Amino acid sequence: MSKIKEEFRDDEEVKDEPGWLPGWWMGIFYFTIAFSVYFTIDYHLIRNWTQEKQFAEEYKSAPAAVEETITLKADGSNPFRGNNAAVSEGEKMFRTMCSACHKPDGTGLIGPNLMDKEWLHGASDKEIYSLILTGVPQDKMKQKKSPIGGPPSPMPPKGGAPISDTKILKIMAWLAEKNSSLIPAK
Amino acid sequence: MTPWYEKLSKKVEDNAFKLGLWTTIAILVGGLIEIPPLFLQGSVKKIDNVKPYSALELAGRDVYQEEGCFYCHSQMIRPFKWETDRWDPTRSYGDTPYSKAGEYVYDHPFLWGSKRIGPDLAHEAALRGSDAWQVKHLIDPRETSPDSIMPAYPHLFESDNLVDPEGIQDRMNALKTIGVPYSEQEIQGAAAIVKGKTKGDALVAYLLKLGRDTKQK
Amino acid sequence: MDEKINYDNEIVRKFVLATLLWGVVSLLIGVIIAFQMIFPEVNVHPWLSFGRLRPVHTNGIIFGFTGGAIFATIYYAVPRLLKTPMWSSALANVQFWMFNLTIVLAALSLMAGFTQSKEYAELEWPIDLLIVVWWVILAVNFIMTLKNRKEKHIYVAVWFLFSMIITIAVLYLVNNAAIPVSLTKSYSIYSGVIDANIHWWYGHNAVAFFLTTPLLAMMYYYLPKHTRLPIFSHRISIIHFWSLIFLYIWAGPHHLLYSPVPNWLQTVGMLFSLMLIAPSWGGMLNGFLTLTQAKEKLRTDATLKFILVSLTFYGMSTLEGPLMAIRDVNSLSHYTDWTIGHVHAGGLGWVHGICAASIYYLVPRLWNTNLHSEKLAETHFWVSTVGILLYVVSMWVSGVTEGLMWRAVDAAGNLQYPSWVEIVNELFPYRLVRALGGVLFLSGFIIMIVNVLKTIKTAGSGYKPVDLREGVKASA
Repeated sequence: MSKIKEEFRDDEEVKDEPGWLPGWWMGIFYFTIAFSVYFTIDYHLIRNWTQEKQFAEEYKSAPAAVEETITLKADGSNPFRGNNAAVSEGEKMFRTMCSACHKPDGTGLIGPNLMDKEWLHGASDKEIYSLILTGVPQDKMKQKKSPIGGPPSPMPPKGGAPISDTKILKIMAWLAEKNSSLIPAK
Repeated sequence: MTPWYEKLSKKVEDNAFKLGLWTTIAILVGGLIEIPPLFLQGSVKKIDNVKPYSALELAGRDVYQEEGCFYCHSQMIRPFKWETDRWDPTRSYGDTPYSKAGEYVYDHPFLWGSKRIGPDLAHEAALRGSDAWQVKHLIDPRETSPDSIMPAYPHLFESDNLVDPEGIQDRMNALKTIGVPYSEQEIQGAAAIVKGKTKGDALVAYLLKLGRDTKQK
Repeated sequence: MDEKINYDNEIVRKFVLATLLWGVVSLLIGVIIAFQMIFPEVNVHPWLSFGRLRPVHTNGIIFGFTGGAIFATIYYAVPRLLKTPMWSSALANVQFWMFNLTIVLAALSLMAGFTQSKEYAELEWPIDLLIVVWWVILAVNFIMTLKNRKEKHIYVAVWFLFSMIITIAVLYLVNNAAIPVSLTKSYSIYSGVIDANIHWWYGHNAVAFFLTTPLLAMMYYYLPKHTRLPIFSHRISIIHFWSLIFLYIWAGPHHLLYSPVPNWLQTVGMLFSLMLIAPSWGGMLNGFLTLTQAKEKLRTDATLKFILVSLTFYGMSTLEGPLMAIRDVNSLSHYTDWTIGHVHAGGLGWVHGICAASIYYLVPRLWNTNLHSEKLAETHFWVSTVGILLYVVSMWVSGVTEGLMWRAVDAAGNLQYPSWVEIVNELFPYRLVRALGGVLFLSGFIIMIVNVLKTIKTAGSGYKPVDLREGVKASA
């Protein structure tokens, strides 16, 4: 940098003009101020809005998640058995929702292997369906050792996943497809 | 004709002291109105069940910070049904299963995060309460969650990557001076509790504390 | 005009080079973490994992790159506007070296995992103290120069810089209050909700007073200098300066909508964000209306193009921001990639645009030579603009997609996408495009560095300023 013997002199002054305030611009400003006053009065002073109240209403008015049109057949078997669309959707759901504990191929990680002939809590659709809905708490656990070694884990209801009953049945349809020892009914 | 604000401004434009003074005043007002009220008694509603982090959990919280977990995981569930259904699917947190101020009173600093690249962790204890799963997932996220984009943290579980037993007492003492109610006994016993634990063990202990105290069933 | 004022250009040259260095490093890290989000294998080492590198990227860009350009402007523009050299060249040099030491220490300590874990305030307390020292040095030098000024009237660019120096000091001291445990560890003295509120008061105003007001100062200086045209309206400057700095401070809680902070605070954050639209647009208007007087030159002048696009992104971001601060919009945008897109529209569009224009203005004058290649500057402009568009648009789509998927429910009211990974997979193509946009942008930046380095090689050959008012005729 030392080779810059003579500096360039950048001395020209910066100027501005008085100019004017564009009306539409000030209009936006006044409008946002007026709106803010209106909003505060309407939301907080008149309607006394709070996010807690909003949630309570939303929670109350939401359709009940349990009201499902599809459930087990009269004989207790899974209506989606053999339904190809349901099976492939079930496979996708299993991979994303259940594989965390049962491994993507269903052979078990900290949850038991679902691809063998051994069913710890019953092998029928009805038994497995209610097991998934309620989960397996610590004291009801029959698994001695998890497939990856070490102590097994209790299963939370629906595996702890926010998953609908219909989707559970589709997952079971896939399971039944892969593992014939899961029987429709006793 | 010169408008009033231009005349007013002229005085400040020619006087550096006034410019600095009025700028300082202008930028202080908002903060003074927004910040002090939260320090008032009762502005944060306490939740009795919420307890401070144990020695190992605190060590884990420090690991959580070191690794920058909060850049991808939030710890604040907003009051929307679609959020509470996702992170309280089994309705274990009562009628108001969103995050509340009282849950965070011992959080120095807060770790709410601002971006969910991964899921929220505020209810982790209820959702994935198995330590075996947590260990497995941290060592290789893609083994438990195919297609996960989370980095793997096997090094946290190496036998030489341990929590510093003396350091944890200093940390608890520091937190005690700023109001976290640790007893002398807890601090004395802390070193023994974390001794020999890997950073990974501590992190898992912390994850399993998230949402544990407020879970109702 | 006093011909003999001895301005120190050496310190400005140093800051310009530091800006380029920290810029390219931070952008490179940005590109790496963009790829980590689509290919987790790119997390090759514990020190280089996403969670460690993200703060290096953000701190490097904000404080290293933008800071460098701001300080270069302070040491170049302020003495000229006040017609007196900086009060102390020595202090300026001390600040320069402490500033660079800070950035190096910041990068190393963040990669080592030493962090206060508050976004953009991650640096641990010893580095915080170092920053306080050089910030005070900067402030003293700035204030003493103001005191010694030979020009009575203080130009609007200096107001904006002054507001930065004051406000950043206040924000920094309050938000970084922490109890040290060891040299590398401390805990915020605030907890939970209080900490969140104070932090976003800081975080939002770091955007305001580090990434906005000093950049406006740069616009108010380089635009009239480069075009040799007067700024359109001093009256707009007055209204938008005072309303901007007064209102900005209140807007922090819009980062905490639908959180456990009190409802009234959230509403204040939302409404003050809306009221910020006009004050923010004041700066854009003054820039645009000045530019319209030079519009025939826009076709051929890369520096002006950068300013134009920069102001466009500034106007867009300062409208988008307030919209995202509206509760209902925020319920969709918060926690999503939309926020990332918004930040980068401001960062890549506005901040980088003004900084690039400044660099193209400064380099020929500082090294007293003509710019190596106007063509390369033009290439830089187009490559980076396409990069920004790819980045911002892909993040908009990605953000809205994930926001909608999170809340989608089926007829029975159940979540339609209960699996998180399924949503992540859906975002893959957008995040890939984002990463490619980042690569383009980085390439543009490297083109600028090459251009600057080649220019420096011919230092001292004599700079001949082009009169833009006659530019069209001269080149025809």
